[in-house]
Amino acid sequence: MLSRRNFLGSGLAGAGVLAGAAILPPEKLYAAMVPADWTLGAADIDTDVAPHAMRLVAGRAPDGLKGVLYRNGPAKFRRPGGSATHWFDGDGMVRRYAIDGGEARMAARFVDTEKRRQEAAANAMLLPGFGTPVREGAVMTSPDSANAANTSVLVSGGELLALWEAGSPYRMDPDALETRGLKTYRSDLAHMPFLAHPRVEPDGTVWNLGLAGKRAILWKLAPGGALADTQLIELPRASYIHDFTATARHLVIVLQPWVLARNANPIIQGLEWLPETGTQILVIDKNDPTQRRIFEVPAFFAFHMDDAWEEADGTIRFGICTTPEPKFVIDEARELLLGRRVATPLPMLSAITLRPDGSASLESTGVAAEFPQNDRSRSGLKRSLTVHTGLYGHGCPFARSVGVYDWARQSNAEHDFGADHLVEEFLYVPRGSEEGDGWLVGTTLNLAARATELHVLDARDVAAGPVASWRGDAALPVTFHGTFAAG
Amino acid sequence: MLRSLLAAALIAPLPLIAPIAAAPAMAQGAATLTIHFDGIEQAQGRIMVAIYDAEGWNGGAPVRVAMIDAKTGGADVVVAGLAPGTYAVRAFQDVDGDMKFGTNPFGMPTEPFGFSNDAMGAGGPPSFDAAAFAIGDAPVAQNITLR
Repeated sequence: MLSRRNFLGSGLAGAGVLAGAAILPPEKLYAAMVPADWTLGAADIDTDVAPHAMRLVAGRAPDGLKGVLYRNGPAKFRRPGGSATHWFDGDGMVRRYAIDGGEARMAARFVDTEKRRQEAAANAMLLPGFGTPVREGAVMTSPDSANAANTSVLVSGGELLALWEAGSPYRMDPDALETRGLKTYRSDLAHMPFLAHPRVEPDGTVWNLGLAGKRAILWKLAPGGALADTQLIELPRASYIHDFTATARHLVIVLQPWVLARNANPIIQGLEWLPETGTQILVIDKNDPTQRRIFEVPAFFAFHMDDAWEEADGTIRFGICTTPEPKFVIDEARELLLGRRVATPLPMLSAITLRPDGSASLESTGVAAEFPQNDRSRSGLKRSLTVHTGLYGHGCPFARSVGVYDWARQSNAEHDFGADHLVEEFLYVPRGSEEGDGWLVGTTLNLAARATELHVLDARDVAAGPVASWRGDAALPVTFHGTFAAG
Repeated sequence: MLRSLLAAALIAPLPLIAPIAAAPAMAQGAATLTIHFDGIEQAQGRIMVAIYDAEGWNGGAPVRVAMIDAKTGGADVVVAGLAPGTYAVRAFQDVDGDMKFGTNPFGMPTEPFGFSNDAMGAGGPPSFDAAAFAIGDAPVAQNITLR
């Protein structure tokens, strides 16, 4: 990078005179030395983004890559009569990035939720969220009144489902992104919670959970999206559960010691961190939920894990992004909406091993990582690669790299997009049949260009950076999760 | 998690309504209450109406109950013979005809409901005061939007 001293030096030498323009660099060069304004990553969007062609800004589109990347995340946090007080509580906006014939197009629409309608009419954020209190004037007839539909998406039964975690999926048209209403799998299951992290088997069978304290509903959807089964199960403790994982035979539910201790407004204030109780990991047989085992590991906090797999002797392995305490979610994810940075411990990619003898271990890779992803066509099967975001802690709450961790080699490869990019979750898109023969597809928010970008990297050479990058006409805030629909 | 905000209290005080509401004796000089229901999205089942005084509102017995077929475009029920006083109404549409207010396995409402004055609590039933209206000598009309 050009330092101020060098620039002054060369300017003086080159000009040979003490002309003002030569002595001092133009203002834009000073501006480039100030950290980019990451608050664009949690800015408000006021209108939907019409479908438009993205501009290829680097590389060229890889042959044979065709499909749609759907992403979801909060994009409206502030209204004059009151604003969301937590990053997780903004209105869900679903983004659609279509790659076809070497070109990319993008569009984005808010999910037309009951919450958004009430709040638009009141010109205030009213409904309660994870970290946002309920306000006077809110009308709550079910948890879905507060459903922000802002966390992830699932393509199921020919529809795009916008997922939250404490209520129903919202149904959307997968092409036009028009909201069709709540997804009710059966009338007596209306408004039941459906987590934003369903686990999908290679054949399309979907497993998911919905939580109410210690009670949980276990959802099973057939490959075509129809409801196959539900079970009500009781958990050993009322942990905060955002994600879970699964092997081919078992569901693996991490019960961290962040526990709902009381009803509070907002919810987050009723959660208590009880590290002395450790972390429990519940393993349930998919075919018989009464068959369960509980493993114990030291206390940690985690949002996300990758797909688990099981060895011949029954040993279960998976990757998880852990922090010592839930500091990010309590402090940083609240303050970032105010444009303030609170440095909290970095999430570390860690390995959990659950052995047939009942012992369990947690080992950190030493790689700071979040948003773990893997080849979903290998879900539940043995594999060695986990895709992640990384390079956290560089002056802003978001990532600036994408990486691939190889569990077999215990090595990590990363591409640093640089300080101008806020890096979102990248997904693994298979190319050939061999593991690793695939693309990484994801988005960044380019702060310098003030535009959202779509990138494709070769999973075998992540460090080389994108093989293709496209830039859209809109700068959309950072999203949480997505899915890639090939073809 | 938001379940807690919608405590079962929302529903619990809605009574099981007997299939035939007791025909009240017309009290001398009592006014007629007409309740109009909006927000009916499917013409299925009946709207179950329970009228309370302050004493019965939080878990007690209603002073009167009534039923009316659900019709899209609105439905009216007329209740005669209420003694002068202050009342509040809880109502729900019994879509599946099981005579119970439907809830999902976590206790959240699955059938449309509403309260007099169109009062709506955030995570529970409204207070009696918020839903209360007076009955005197003159006819009284209430509009309830089922949601």
